[in-house]
Amino acid sequence: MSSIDSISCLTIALSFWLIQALVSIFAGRKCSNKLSSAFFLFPSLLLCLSAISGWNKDLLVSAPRFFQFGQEVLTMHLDKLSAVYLLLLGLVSTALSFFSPVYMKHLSDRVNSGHFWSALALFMIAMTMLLLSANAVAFLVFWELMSLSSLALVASEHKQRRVQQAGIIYLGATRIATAFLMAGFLAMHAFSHSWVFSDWGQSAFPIWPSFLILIGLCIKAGIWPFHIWLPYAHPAAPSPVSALMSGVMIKIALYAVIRILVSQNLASELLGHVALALGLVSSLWGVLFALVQQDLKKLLAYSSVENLGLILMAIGLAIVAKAQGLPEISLLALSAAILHSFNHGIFKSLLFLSAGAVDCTVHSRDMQQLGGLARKMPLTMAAFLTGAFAISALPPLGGFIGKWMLYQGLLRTAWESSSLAERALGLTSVGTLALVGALALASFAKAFGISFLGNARSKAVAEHASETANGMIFAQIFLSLCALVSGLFAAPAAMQAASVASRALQFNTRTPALAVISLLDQTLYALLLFALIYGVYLAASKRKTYITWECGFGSLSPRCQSSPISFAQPMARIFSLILRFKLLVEITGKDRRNFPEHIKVEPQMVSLLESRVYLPTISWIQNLSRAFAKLQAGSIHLYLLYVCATLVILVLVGTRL
Amino acid sequence: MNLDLIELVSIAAALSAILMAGSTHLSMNIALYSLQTFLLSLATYSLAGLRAESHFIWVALAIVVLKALGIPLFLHWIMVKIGVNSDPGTTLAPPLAMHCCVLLMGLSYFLAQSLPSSSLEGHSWANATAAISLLLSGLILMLTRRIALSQIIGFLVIENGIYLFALTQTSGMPLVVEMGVLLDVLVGVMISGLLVFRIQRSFEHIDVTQLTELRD
Amino acid sequence: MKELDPNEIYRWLIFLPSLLILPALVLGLLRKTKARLQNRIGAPLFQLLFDLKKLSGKGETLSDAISWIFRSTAALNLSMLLLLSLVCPWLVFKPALGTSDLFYVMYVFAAIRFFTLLAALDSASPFAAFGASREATLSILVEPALMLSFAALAVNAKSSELSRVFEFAANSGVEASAIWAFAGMGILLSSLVELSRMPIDDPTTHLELTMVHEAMILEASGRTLALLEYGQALRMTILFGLVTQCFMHVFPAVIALSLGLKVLLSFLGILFIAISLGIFEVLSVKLRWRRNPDFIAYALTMGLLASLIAVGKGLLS
Repeated sequence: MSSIDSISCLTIALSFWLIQALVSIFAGRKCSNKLSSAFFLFPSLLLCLSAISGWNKDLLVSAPRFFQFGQEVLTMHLDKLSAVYLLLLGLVSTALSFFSPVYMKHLSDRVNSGHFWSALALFMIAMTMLLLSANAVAFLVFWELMSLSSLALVASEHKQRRVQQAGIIYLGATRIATAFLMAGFLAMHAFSHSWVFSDWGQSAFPIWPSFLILIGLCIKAGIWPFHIWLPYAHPAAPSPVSALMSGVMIKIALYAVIRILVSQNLASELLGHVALALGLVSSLWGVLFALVQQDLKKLLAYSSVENLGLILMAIGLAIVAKAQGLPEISLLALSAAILHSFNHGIFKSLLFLSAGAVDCTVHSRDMQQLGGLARKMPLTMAAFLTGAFAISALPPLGGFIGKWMLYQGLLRTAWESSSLAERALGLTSVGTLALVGALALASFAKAFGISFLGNARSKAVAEHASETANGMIFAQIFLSLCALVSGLFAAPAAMQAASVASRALQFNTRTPALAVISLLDQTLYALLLFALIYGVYLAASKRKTYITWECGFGSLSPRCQSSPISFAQPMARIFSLILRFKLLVEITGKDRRNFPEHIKVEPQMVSLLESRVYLPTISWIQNLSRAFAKLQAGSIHLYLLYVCATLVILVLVGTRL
Repeated sequence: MNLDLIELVSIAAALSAILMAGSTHLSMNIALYSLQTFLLSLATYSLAGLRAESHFIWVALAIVVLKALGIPLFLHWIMVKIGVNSDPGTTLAPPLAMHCCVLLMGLSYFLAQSLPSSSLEGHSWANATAAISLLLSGLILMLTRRIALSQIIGFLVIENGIYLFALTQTSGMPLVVEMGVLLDVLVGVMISGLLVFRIQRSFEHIDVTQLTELRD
Repeated sequence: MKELDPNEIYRWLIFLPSLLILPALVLGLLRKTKARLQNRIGAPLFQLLFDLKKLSGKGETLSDAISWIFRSTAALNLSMLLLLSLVCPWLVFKPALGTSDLFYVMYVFAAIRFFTLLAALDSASPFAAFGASREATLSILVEPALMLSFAALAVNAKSSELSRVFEFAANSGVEASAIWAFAGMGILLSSLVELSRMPIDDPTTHLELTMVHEAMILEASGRTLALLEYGQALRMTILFGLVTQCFMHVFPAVIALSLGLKVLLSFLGILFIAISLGIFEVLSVKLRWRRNPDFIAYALTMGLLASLIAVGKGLLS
């Protein structure tokens, strides 16, 4: 295929979405979900196609002068790095176009479908263009479009108070992120006199603008301590939107870290260390909070914080290793970041879609109400199991390889680096990552085991649960297969990621050989053994069915099963210093001690950051603004006085200078 | 790198201090202290041969008798008398205190590197690491424990650290000074042991975290 | 297809029977030691094999709440364990199969745990769920210790391939010995926790509320139970084998021995660990649940010490 193909594919896809955005906003509630999704599917497939055909190419295209932002022409740059993320975006949006119609039907009385599809199309345009923009002005414009369109999507059910609150928090986070980013970009422009990213690396500059950019991007990516918008926004947003936001959008923020900071050589060693530390803390923090959640989507949101932390850690390691002259480790770590971004995008979207499918059929995401879905929704269960297995980084699925490469990078630092502190840091990070891995495994064993296995904990689930519609199933199976393929063919995928990374790191030499383990043969052996043991030994035994052992008390109520809180309680107790996790027990009755009549147990969890940092800051700002508000008294004469005073001061200052 | 006997012994002593920070049993801690002191006397004895200083032999003997046997027995007697055998620790739980000590041992590695080098027998980074690590572990032990008896043990570990440092990093102290220090330690322990006994009698506990009510 | 080396055939010929006999012998010796110290005669040494035979002949009683996960777990876990037994260098002469990467091995162990937890939650039994919750708790405590111990060894050998790490290369002095010793202790203590053995959990009590592993497999019966029991014994043998290898590396004299003696030593070492564990289990008591972190902390301390030395190795002299 010639180079024109991928660009024209992209142009067609973008114009399709533009048309869709315009048409569906006028259609409003009359907008047909099926038609919209068919219209949405075509550009999604084109996106995948353009990513694949644009692979191995380096295309720099300037749009016609018509698309001009101030003095800057809209320039698009398609290389391998953006192609990886375009492919991810295309795959997820393909799955979404199958999933959304059924889901939207379930929400039809609460959500205006025209607005939804319009915002979704704009969101897609923004993300695609963000991946392609080669200068800062275009980047900021599409960054804003992405923030605002995703805000519109998060607030789809804007009549509910919970959603309003989530929307406000998300809006606040995006504003602050943009402010930091803009400040950083302006500073870079002041130093380099150019808006084009590739010019930035040429001139000398102080390091603080790169920190401003990093903070702005980290807020969007949900890195600790800026992650608090994630657990609000995801439960409020419709599932397809969560899938897109968690799967792709937050990764685009880290893509920008690679694109702007790493590949333009803006990142100093200090920045690398900061990124490494932030990543380590957010991975631990995120997974700890994921462990104690009851809401399925909140759990997934916190797990995103964890995984984004891992990716940022890998980027940080890449920066540090490059600065210290360890190119192989740097390459390994950046490939890990890219590969894990892609894989996490796939299986996190899958998990959000499965959670959405559960929500759709039983109208609850509270794990306390779920249970026993395995027999009622076998395909959804298989999809969620695939996702949970992959996100726990278990071989052979997609999550393993990225984590493996990160582990390798850290471990090799421990003997290749010449500095003792660096070595110690590498080995300590390996230990912490092991803890994070075990915690992630526990939280996803809990998420899957409590919601899908055992018996139904509520009547609604026991009676109404049944397999969801075909579109939803297809979307989940599609993403499961993607996760499986990317896991089984991890070695070639890692090779490709390494070639992307070596370009991003500007290694001029040929890609150093990257020894990646191949899991294909061992998986095959294990499956053969499994088939042998199951088929020959286990399948032949005589079986009879009976109730679960209950010490002879008669049948147990399904509420006797472990609850999501009770499962996590021993672990939460160990980390009570961070989690502030408590069980509030209230016993009432005449003789409380011996004959309690009612026992009420309620888990309480205080978010340390919110209660100690963010709320005090917000109330401080509110008080400050209230003080400023007193200036605005409403009297015309007072305002004229202000104008006069300002004028006098300015004149005085002007003459002094 | 090959460690000689003195280095092995002093590192083993430092390790025993780390284990002490993790143990909640007072009798275990007293036994470990005794072992640690015995190891230090072994180091002193072998240095006597290497540096050809005969008075080190007498110092080693005095350490064994007074510090490795006398003080532990006395502390054990106090412990039985007041009937307390476990120390639950304060906010920093004993296991975490132990991990802190390991990390501090890593820090001692750094500190020991920055010391000026010398050709003196026994003057090596391993011994300096062990000595600083002993000192810091003793501090951690004193910081994280609740029972007054543990504070005494922590103090003794610090004293061991200082002794090891003086022994290996300098050319050693004269016999009279050594004996004086030993006597000081012995008397200090005696007095504080009796004080613990008195505290137990008047307050019915020896929990140092609750002694804050005495500040007026 | 390359030609088969006769040596390779001998290896398989010794290895395959030892896969069946060694787990039975380890468990049998452990139980026998405990019984003799408690003045009981105790079960025969190969009781596990008799149990497996008996369980194979029995039918299965299954809970009405289970899905396909429950029974597949037993088969899947055993197949992963067999794979691990081929991959991990837990015996000196073992035939090698594919990669034995440290992180891969750790995550296959994690996958086994994942399925065990799911199977426990699958039966809708509150006891099993208790066990699962405890197992998850223990695993998060023990994972850093195990990982750090292995990572220290990997740094020592400058390779993350376990088969390279456990190669009998020339020992580079006290430092390497210390790393091996600390890592060996770390792995031993961690494996006691992983296997839910004595100070953490008493597998011989009959109180479902307190147990960890036995509570999780409460609903299994017949052939499923047989697979789980054998799997647990195999896991124990592999972990003890790794510990033995660690301790063999501590002594430079062992490294110079001939292959035959090394093979013998590694077998004897595993059995020795089983016997000493039996003695330890008689002498010790099960810790209260809340005291378990205190015990596991020692495993982490060993791991930390091993990595401390490994990090400094080569930089200081």
